[in-house]
Amino acid sequence: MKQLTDPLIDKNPVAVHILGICSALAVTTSMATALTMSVALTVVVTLAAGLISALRSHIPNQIRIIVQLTIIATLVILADLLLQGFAHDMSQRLTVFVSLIATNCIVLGRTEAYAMHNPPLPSMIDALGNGLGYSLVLMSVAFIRELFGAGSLFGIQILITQAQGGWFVPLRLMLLAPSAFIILGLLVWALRSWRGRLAEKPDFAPRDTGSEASS
Amino acid sequence: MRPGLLRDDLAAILALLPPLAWLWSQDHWVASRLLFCAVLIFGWQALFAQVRRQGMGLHGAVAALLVALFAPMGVPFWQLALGVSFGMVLGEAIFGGRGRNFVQPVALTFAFMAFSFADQPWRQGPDLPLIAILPALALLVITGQARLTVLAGFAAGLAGVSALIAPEQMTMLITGTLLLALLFLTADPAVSGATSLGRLAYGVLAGGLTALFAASGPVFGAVVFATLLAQIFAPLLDHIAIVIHSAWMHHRARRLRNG
Repeated sequence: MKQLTDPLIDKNPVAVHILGICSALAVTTSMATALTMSVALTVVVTLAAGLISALRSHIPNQIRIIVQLTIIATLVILADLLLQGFAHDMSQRLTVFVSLIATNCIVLGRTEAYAMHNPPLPSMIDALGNGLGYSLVLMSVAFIRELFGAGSLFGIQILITQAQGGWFVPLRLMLLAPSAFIILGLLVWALRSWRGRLAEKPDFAPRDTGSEASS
Repeated sequence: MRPGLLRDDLAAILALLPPLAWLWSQDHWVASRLLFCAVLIFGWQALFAQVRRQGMGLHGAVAALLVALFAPMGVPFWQLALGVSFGMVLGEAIFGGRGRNFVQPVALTFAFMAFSFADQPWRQGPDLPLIAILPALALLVITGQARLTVLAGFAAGLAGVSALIAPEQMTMLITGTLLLALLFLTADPAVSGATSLGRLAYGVLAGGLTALFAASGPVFGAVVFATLLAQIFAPLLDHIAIVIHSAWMHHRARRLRNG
């Protein structure tokens, strides 16, 4: 069970290992795109981990990255085509980011680090946990960005904006890319304050001042 | 009383009183804005000082004065609260307080506001007369809080780029607002470079960018964004200045040794 729950908070791929930032920032302007992206990535990473783990003793070590990428890319293309076929509008809103799952560090990281050395079932649980950890961060960031940037959640108006006769003034910054960095940064800060051992040791120790050294 | 109080903060506060008095004669709300910003900024600083077991200075008053002066008239207080909290916490407090930050927190506050709230003219800045800022110029230069190298570099950059792209905008750039923003935001000693050559280059960069941005927008917004951009480059400019200096010293030592 630790394989499933650890990546949610303590080993979260986005907030602790800082992986997969690019797509996490690009699709979080609204909850709907973030949810679609989360589901797509979770499905791809779980299936890829299972397939690669089942094939792990047959994959030659020298070309393992190429084989892993081929399997991942196949699954990503499948997911992309499914989205284009059954949710065309959503696929238009996500632009290239679903096909970019193929280069997402979380997917390759889990298959390379875990699925290559473990049986299929634990690998899939581990990958599912990481997918859910990614989804958790994506949904949190998207919740803040959509609520304060547009006053809505999943496209349903929660806060009535001034343009519609209400009181709420949308924060335009929330819909721009920098806000995703800021929110993610605050999230990482909060997480590391809460779980102190996640913080790295400082690279440089501050020099003692005279008064502190003498005391 | 902190030993640096007379040298650091008091001069800056005194320098901001003439523009404050001028603005107060135009718009009495500036007093309540100032009080609100001061309470908020000192609150944040006290919180972080408590957590980090550090002391506190009076420089929060300078920041509060600057925000109150530059904010548009009739701005809602909740916007002010959001912007000031953002600027003070993410621009200064998380780095460990004043002197360890690398962007000017007040400039960051206004950049955040300009991006976030389109319903208020955050980039506009007040209409301060030049004469109200001259005491600040004298006080800050004499106490060394606005280095002449930065000011000279800024003037050179501004004049140079203006002459290239829009010679006619030069005269309308020289306003009290530009001078006040230059003195307190751009020439802030904590973030404007640590070497003479670095400061000069930083000033030229900030001035040139200001002239460039002012060609398509209000002057105050141009100074704020030019300052932020230049401040990010200030450590790099310092590094280049140090490399140049040490290469020159090596060269000189070798020449002296070999006669």
